[in-house]
Amino acid sequence: MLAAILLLAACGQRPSGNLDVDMDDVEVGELQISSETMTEIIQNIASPIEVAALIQSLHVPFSTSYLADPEKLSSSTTSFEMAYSLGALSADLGYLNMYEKTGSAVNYLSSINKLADALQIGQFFDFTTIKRLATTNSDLDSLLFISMNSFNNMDDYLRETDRSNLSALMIAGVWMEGLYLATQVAVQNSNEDLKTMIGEQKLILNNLLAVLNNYKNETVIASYIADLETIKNVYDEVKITYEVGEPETIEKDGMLIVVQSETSHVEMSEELLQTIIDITKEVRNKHMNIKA
Amino acid sequence: MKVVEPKKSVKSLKSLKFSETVRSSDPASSSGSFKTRRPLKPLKAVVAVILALSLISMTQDNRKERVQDCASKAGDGAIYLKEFVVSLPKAAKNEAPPVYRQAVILRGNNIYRFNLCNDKGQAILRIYDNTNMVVSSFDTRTNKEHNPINFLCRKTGQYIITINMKDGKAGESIGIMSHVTK
Repeated sequence: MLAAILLLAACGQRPSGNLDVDMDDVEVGELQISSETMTEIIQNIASPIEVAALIQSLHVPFSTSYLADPEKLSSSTTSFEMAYSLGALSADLGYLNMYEKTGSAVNYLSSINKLADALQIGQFFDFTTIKRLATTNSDLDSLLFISMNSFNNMDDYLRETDRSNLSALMIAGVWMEGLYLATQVAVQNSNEDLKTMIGEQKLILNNLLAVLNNYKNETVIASYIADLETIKNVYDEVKITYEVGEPETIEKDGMLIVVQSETSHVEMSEELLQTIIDITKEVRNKHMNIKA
Repeated sequence: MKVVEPKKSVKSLKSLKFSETVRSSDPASSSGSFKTRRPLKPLKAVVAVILALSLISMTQDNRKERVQDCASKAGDGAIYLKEFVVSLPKAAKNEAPPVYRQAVILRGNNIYRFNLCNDKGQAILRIYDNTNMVVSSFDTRTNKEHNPINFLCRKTGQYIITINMKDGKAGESIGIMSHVTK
């Protein structure tokens, strides 16, 4: 009995990815990473919070017009479509949370909960607590934590239960909706940081496609890949250059800040930005059942 | 904070399979056969499953509480993104110490904060870009620990987070990656 419990508790842990690395490498900072092995284990390809946080930091006014309507999502969908929608709605939820429009989030929470239950990951979405925190608007820090932690746990569990294909689609949904939010904000607000962020999605899209391509033999996923490839074709025109430099450290309020000196620069014309905005809208609306 | 629903409920069903495995290693099953062994009484089996589920739920609740507690120590303006729960054994003699490793995407023009909550030992977190270490929570020259530590990322791309225990000792730690609002 005790052994069974211990084994089960061990099963509850996530794969930690413990790897033996030569200590010299660890100390001197010469860790070689094979790009081929990265695609399976890479995390934070798309985050429901980060795009929303950037948009909010630009002091762009909140607008519900950027968000998907959960009511429009079809109820008779495949697990692939549900995983994608779950990701997209999680990105919208992140946007609502960042703007503290939590009272408007109930529809999104209910839809995410239904999708999570249908995908058998509902046990990781703490609907009751999140809904209580959202409706009482009492503790934004806890709301942000539990929302993000629930998302991470759902994603991890999909991978642990040999459903990495659904995890990949969920991440694709987050990324696509995040790009849509950013591009729609860019339509209304000309901002260099936002433009740079949109341009740099070229790099993340490549990572996302590398992950999705592991499942390209599955017809539904192949169709998502095809749509993302149309966006990639436009992004191929974006030029990103790098400037090499050594990291610098500064101490502020007793906390060390490492400032990366190696920087990237995005070259993208206004016409190219507009093309990205248009193709993003087209692909996003297609998968969220929204007609132009 | 209590989580009402038990986590990992699907995995918990594996407990039934495991108990069968245990029984198969019982001398009674090896000398006779698995089929001839008296089956576990239904009530005992139900109690065992309930106990196992409760313990798993408590373990998961405990993990979530530890992660949330650690995230709350990240400081002002930090929004939790991801945790790295690490449990590393002591380095074997004449062998390299074990290192936890995780690839992440970090985005340019963003500030990330990393903080560590050690349960046992002293963890050291490092961040690598393609080949070079860009951040370390422990300065080997001054013997000073920086926890939490901020990283102003200026190049979107893949990075590797590593966590190892100081001096190759065994240890347990939680690392939190947060986004810092500007």
